[in-house]
Amino acid sequence: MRAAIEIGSALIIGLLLGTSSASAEEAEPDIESRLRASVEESEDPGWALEEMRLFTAFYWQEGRGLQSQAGPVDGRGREDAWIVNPMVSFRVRQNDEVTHTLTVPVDIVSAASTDAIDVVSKASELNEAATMQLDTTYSPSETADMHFKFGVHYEEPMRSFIVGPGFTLKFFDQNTIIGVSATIVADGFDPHSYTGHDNGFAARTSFGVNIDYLQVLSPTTLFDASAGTTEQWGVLQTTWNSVIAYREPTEDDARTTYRSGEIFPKSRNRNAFFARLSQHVPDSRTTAKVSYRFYVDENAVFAHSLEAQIYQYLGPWVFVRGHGRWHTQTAPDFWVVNAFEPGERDLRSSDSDLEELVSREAGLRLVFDRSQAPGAVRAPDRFDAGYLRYQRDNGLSIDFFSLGYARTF
Amino acid sequence: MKRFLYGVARLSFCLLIGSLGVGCVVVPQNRRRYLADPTMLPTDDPLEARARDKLHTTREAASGGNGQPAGGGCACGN
Repeated sequence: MRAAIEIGSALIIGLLLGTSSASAEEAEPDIESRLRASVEESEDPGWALEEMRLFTAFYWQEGRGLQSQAGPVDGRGREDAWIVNPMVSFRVRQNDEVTHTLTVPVDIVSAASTDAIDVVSKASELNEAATMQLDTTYSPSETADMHFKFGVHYEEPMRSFIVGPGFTLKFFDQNTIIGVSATIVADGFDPHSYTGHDNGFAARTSFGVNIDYLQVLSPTTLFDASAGTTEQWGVLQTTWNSVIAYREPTEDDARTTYRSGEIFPKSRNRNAFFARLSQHVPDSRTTAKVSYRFYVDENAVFAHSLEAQIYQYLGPWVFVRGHGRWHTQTAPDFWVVNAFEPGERDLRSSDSDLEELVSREAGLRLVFDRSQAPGAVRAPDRFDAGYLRYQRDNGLSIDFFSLGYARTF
Repeated sequence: MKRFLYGVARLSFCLLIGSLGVGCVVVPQNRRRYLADPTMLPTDDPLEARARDKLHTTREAASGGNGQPAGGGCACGN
């Protein structure tokens, strides 16, 4: 529409110039063509690739948990695993107002569930998962953005669909940004038992609402926060789950210790609040961030996560990030070390991820941002390498290595 | 539990409204050079942030409530 108006204006100007003098009549085609060319140049160029990101992480996990059968039948078994997690994302500009970001993460997991199968059928020895998520942003003005995300996830033995709209408003010359978003996730999966038996089909649905808030506090200080709630319904326990169970010996079976299945509630409400303060120090080119996250759900899980990050420029285009994180959580009210059967059929889980625990994490990441480099090496890309160590006090640790590359066009 | 959740919701609301008042201090766009530094972005690399989020949500019970999917399939169903 705007282009049509501009072309119309150009023609009117051309006509006016054409009636002004005879010499102008001779020059009319040149002026008109120049105006047309100018308008065409200012027109929206349309579809264009704006940014590409590549990222690969490698996790090396060592640990022991009550769900693993790779150990004593009545104790913690081995939960060692490795995970390769390559990801790619593309940001594509459709026009002045619409951009799309396509993100494709892939997970290749060894011993995806050490819960039960590994010592029975090897079915979870190697597990692949992939997600394809498209985030579209429509920005009709400088003060409002609309978002929509759509994703599909495939994983042995699970499929998911993810959809969600969002809305962002920017106030006070974009000093204050408030966003509201919703996410609906529908999962369908094969609920394998701890013996490897496929029990058919199970499903669960999650609905989440989140409010984001970002505030510029000074030319070097930012504050951002979010609060959200998620409600889940359906079969909430993982596939391949198990709980150590005790019973009296019977005439047919003399075993007193064996494995049984988890029993989860049919719905679960989760709530989280997050806040972060970011401060840049121009003199030393240092940035410090401190964040806190609080979580509570209706099954009495309370969690607190504190994180601090320090960014320090080592040169004009190289910076290092160091971070530390501390997390503590209580166990849900149905967490048990073992169960007694056949009489006891209460809610129960022995998942070591749900156990009361404290985790600590520390890491370093080195980033080379060539868009800020001197002319000789300047280019519109950046690459980074990182390492972090994650340690839980219930016997699990992870070494995480990563490499990343990003390029703008 | 309901009383506690109500308290958390009320505290969150008060913090949000209270911090909105700070918005009265407007920093003009030509003074936001340091805020545009890559280190000041909420997530300086969205893919790295996604990988770290996944590490936490699949190893800890506190996933969800942040607008992202909570729980998943193998080893991810917290």
